[in-house]
Amino acid sequence: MKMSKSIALLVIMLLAVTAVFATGAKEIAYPERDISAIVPFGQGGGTDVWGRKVMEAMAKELGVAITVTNVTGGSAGSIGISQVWTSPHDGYVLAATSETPLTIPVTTPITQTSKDWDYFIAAGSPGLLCVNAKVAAARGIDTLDKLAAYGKKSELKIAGTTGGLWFALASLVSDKNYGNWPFTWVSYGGSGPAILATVGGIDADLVVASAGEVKDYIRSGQLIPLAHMDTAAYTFTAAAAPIAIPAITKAIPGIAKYLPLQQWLGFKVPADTPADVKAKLASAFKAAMAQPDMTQFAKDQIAVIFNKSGAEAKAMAQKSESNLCWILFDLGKTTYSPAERGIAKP
Amino acid sequence: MEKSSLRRADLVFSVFLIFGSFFYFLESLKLFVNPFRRTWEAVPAEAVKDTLTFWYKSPALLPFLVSILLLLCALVLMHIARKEGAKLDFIKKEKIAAFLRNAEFRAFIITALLLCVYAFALIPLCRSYLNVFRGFRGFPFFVATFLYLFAMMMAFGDKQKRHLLKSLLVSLLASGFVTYAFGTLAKIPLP
Amino acid sequence: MELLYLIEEFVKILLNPGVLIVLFAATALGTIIGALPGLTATMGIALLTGLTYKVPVAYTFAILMGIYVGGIYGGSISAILLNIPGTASAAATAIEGNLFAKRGKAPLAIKVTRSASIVGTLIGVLALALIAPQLSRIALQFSAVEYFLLAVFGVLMCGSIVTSDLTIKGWIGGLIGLAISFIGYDVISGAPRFDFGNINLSGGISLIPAMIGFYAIPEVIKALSLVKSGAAPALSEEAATKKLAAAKEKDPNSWLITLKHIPLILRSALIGVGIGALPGVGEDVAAWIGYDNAKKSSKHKETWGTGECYEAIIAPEVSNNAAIGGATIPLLTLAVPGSPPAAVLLGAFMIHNIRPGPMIMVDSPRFIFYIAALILAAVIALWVVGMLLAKPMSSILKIPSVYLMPIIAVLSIVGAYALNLKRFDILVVVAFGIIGYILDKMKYSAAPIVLGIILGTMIDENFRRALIVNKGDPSFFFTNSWISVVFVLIIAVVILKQLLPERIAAKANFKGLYGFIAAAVKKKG
Repeated sequence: MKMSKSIALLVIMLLAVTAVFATGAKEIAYPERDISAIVPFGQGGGTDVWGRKVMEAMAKELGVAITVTNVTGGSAGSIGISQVWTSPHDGYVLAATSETPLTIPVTTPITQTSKDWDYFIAAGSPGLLCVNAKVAAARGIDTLDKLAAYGKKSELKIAGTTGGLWFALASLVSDKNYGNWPFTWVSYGGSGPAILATVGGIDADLVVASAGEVKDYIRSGQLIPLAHMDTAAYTFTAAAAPIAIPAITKAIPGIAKYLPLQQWLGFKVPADTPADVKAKLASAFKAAMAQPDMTQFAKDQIAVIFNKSGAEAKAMAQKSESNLCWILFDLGKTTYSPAERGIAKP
Repeated sequence: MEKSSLRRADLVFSVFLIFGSFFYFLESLKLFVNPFRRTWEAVPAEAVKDTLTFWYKSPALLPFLVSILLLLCALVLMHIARKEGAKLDFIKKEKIAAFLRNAEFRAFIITALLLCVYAFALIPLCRSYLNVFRGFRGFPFFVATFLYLFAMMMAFGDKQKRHLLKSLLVSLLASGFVTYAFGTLAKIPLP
Repeated sequence: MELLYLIEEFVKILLNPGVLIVLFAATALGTIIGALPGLTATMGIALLTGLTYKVPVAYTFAILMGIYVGGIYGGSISAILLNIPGTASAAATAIEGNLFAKRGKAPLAIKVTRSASIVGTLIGVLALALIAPQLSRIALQFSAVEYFLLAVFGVLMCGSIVTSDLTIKGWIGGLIGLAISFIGYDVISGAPRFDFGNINLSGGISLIPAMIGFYAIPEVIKALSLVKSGAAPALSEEAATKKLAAAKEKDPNSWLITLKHIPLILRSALIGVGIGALPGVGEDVAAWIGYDNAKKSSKHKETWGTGECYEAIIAPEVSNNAAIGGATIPLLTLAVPGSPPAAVLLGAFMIHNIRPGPMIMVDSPRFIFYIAALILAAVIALWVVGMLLAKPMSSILKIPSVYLMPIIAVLSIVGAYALNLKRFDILVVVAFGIIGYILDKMKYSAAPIVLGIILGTMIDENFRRALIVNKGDPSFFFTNSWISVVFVLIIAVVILKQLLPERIAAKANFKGLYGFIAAAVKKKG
């Protein structure tokens, strides 16, 4: 048959082409071509916004383009993260990340923990417990004290994403050993939809989210910030008049032992990436964070700059990992126990 | 497809759907009892009690409903097919042989096969063996696409020299264009 | 007010030469895609969504809307010239349109359908700009309950209307789509579902690769099997010489012909907008109903079928193009696509981080007008492009499937991969393509399956969210708001209508609805 002949011909051509071009690859200094960065969450979220900003700044330092792609799906961004892990560990595929992907080893069959990654932590935004303004007016819960009094007796609905930092914090508030406020947890696919549902005020009354994500709604008066999810009070300065926000520990002191549970954003590479590549990335990251417009950007995003890499960043990631994974495990929300993944107890 | 054979296909498909919905139901049951797929010993009694009290939170709720509705629909489909005279009588040698000789069926098999070869053999193979140009990273994709296009055009065209040359040219141009336009111009990483 | 916004957005587009050029090119491409048998507007949008993922957002929507408008129009060209509707929505146009061509009047028929398409699209856009904001205002009061009912309504309606064989097949398709949509992590509980421990499946089946698989690959197989069995379409010598002779004759002005039929145009446009707005029922059904309505109400019934009846080509073209605006209304305000191309558009919006739905007027208040203005600009592009492409089109249509279809298969794979850079998505395209072909042979329409995949998570999450908010008590479906009561009633009617004894086996259920709408329109007219 003619077809089989033509296929045979093609195979021969293919082999010939391979033979001609299969010259040995020479080592060239990193980076010699464009880098791609994968954001494991949707566009417009904290990880995406910061990931793009940091990559843009680093591209200037490294002298190559960094293309940013959102690869969403899975639990805690597991699809995007595992895609980076399965790519060659050569520094040409970076993973933008937040603290949330740290819960991947206990919620999915993926076994890599923070030990297997090296972190570059740029910044983070404080967590705020916010209430829908109309609900607050109707039920008289516009301050943390009033909420604490109200919250213990009757039920409120709190929106958020199952798994991850804000879920852990909200769960602690409603857990009988700590806040014991009988919240109904209403789950959404991302912090964006959860915040919108709270702004709508029909399906949810409260939301825990980063200040950067809720700033516009606080400014427009649709949401009222009630508590800073940390041990110290916080002043929200992005509104017309500064808003003083008390610490959650003022109402629920018991939570303090799990704190600080903070948001942080940045990127990571597999730990077995060649050392010279990692060193190059670290110096580019430092230089990127030192660029003059970075401070203004952080201010706009209501974020605190961390600017950590190397051992310092890894330690920070490991602490978050151990806190988050064990809280989720204690709440019965994990498939695998942190112990079997070798994650130390806090 | 003419109506009698369509109803036969419906009959076969309804049987397939009935099995499928049973399977889906069983999987949903597992999901209901043990949503986080712990080992069975590790499922605490408290968690099962929780699941029963808050049944409406279970991730298996809608899958249950869908599997039951699918089963019902499959039964109705089976009923209609049988009422309209479909029987499982076509599993005979000559009928199957006639089916296999059918031009459309052959086109389907060739297209599906070549597509699979392209996606799961040619692209990965070229990716791992032909990534030789540092400045032209689309090269493996280009080769794979060219081979696929040419094979397809040869498989479906007449076997004349003119067509062969034309196919060669068209597949070369098309794979070159796709590689350049998407890989180089639009910077889409090619498979 | 709405019209002012529309004009403002329209002027913005006109003042942006980059967008304008892209829109013209996209409309031309859409017209070609629509005209080529086997390439549909839906498939064009699905492919381009993947391929333009990296293009700046300002251009992306210009490209997609251009393809949409061009694609729906383009189908009529091949319907007239070859008697093969390039897109399903042009099937009604082919009946009389091809008779024009046989008489050697193809250019005139193409010109008339072009002006009819332009007028139809225009009316659809006006409806979109005027109705959508009001509808989204109502939809703003939606809570989980209404979202759930809305999504159920969408799948149900689509399932009962689009299938060409048994209604039950539409429902089975919808259920299969729902079952597929449940694969992956559950948002409410965080539990993995139906992934069988596979890391790729745990991310769920991505919408766009599934859609490319369902819409593009079966067409490739079908077209190539025609080549194999020797039934490839070609222009006959005779037709070509006839056309040549007729081209020398002086034709009457196509705009005058079209505008002579204003009452018919208005009626057909209303049908188009209404049918387009029904979930999942697309331009093709609109065209048939428009055609049928025109035939029944015609004062010159004797001219139908002679190749001289303008009504028979104007009515379906006005209806199917007006359906574009109609289908976009629920797409933007309720996130329930009105037609298969709109379903693909919904996927495109979502990957570009625009969440259509009741919040759209809050999130991106101008987006509705922006899309309406894009369609409006695409209509103008269509005018120019239609004139430019009229001549070369007959040679473009001669590209044999044997060269074209393999390239489409390659583009499907590139497009699906480009979106998420997941190798698994290539597998999804191939697998769903093969399954889609088999299902298509058994007369299962892809539309309810795709709508099931799209709306599955919306149904699942909102159902449980509503139950959680109300502590497991399902009575809120009747007590939540008047909107939910209306939805429950409509859904009950749709189901009951199907379950009445005789109707279980009713072949073309769509006839019932079609008669109903035709009668209603007639009463008004």
